[in-house]
Amino acid sequence: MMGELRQAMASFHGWSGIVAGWVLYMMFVTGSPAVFKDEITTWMTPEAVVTVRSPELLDRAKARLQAAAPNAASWTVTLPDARDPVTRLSWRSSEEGRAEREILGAGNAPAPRETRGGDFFYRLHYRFDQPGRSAWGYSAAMAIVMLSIVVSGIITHKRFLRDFFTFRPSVHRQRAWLDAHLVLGVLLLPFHLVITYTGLIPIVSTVMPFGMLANYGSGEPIVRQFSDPAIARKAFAEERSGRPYPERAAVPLPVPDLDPFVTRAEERWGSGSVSTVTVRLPGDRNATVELARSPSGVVSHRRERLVYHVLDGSEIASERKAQPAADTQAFLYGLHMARFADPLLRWLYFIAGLGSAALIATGLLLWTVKRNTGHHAPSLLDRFIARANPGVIVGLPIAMVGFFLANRLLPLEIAARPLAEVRSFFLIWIAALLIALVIGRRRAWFALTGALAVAAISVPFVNAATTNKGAFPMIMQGNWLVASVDLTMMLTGIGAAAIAWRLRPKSGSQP
Amino acid sequence: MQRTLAAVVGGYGFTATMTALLAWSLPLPRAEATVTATLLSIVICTAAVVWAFGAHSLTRVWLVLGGTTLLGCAFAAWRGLLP
Repeated sequence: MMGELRQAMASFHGWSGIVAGWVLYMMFVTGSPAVFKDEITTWMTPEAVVTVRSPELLDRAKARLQAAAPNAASWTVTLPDARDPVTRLSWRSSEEGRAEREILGAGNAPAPRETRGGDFFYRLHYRFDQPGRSAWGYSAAMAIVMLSIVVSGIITHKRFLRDFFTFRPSVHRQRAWLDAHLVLGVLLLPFHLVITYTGLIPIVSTVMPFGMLANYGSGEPIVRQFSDPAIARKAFAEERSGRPYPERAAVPLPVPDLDPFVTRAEERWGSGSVSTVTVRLPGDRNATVELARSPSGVVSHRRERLVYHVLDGSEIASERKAQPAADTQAFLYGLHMARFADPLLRWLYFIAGLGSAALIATGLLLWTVKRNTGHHAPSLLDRFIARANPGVIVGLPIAMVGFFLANRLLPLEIAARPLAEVRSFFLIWIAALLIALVIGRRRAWFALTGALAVAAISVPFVNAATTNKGAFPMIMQGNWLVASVDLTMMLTGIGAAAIAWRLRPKSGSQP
Repeated sequence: MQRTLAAVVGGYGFTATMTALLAWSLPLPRAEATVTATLLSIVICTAAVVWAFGAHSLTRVWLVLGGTTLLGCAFAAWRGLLP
């Protein structure tokens, strides 16, 4: 009975791993640097002027937003801090709509180059860079598959602890990959489970809205509510926040100076503690100013907020009651987003995320090693997987490095530069995949890791040559934030070079 | 292949029905029950998928997961929520 179950689980583990492995690998490899998305964006906008908080800063932000989006539903100013030393502006034409973003320039200085920056990896990671919520169902399904794979993996490997202390890199190729897979799986097991479970939190109420519809449903046919649950979502959100959004009065009222609101909030929270200033219905009589407290040090995704009426400056108190379940949800959400974490913890997230990616990669390799060295001839599918593996597994980091290089090397004056950067990323990845399919498995592993080494090592040099923000001047100025991107690239390149050296074609052996 | 279909369709329907049922019946304030049910839905869905692949017979999988889904649909139809 137990043996039969284990066999069923092993078969499920293998097959679902093969079906979902590449996509899950992509989600982990792009999700890991996404914990540094602000830092990456800072690196990718070398012209952006470091700003310091001042009343004058908020005046300039207001003037810019007034010019760019006078009729927006909301404006948000994200104030500079140690992590992200520039002022970011965003606005939405409707509360449910997509936000437009830009970096506030410094007076007469030229606007920084436009880029998607770290946000591209972030959006690729959980929504495949698709607009709206179209891809959420797919990424949620992938996360459920990941959870099921982990659970089935645990059931399959009963000798859990014993396997953990076993690593036999020299015994047998297949056995070595299996050991690596098991060590990564067991050592990082809590991380794999928690990061995948919490990753579902932000999207679960969209892909599984039936809990919400059961309590807040509008009585329309379920299919229509499923595809557009706006009514239920609004009722649910207002009940949870205890503070409904303002309704437009259609009576104009100029937006006042924002600095006094920040001062009032910081009197309560301490200086430098306001992270964003949001104006809802700017220019309307019913406008509100909403201040959110800096997330640092608080795991929960829920920000403490203060809201004021613009009209008379009075505070709008929240009537939110104790909500343990909602607080748990906000905690899990925050745990995934890692916005609370200090740099060291962020690095741990980054490394553990790459550990999950390595778990998936070793699983994929294990499959092909098992299938291609057996007694019977490998099937067409197995040969395809074996050939495509290096193109996906190594091609993706090459494309990511290429995204950084494109940011520096594309001519500054071209139109739609952010799109050109994204296209470079995908073209490089597709090219790597095609090369891998054409030149064969062994040569592809060697050629692509070699290419990754060259590309990654070149990043610090290209950066130093094209901007004044090279790693050395930055370290001299104590700006590790920018320099750490260069250093990480250098380390990645050296690591890839070491692997490529081990994989080099030996003279006399068949490729 | 058949099991995959059962796991995907049955698993989703089962999770949807159970989530709605929990959200509706948990003895908590409405918003809290909704959140709790939605948080649990992830666990329910994973368990349903793993069980679908581990269960003895495909018939049993369809009976349990498909049956729950049909019950959920029947309830929705009774409340006039189906077109």
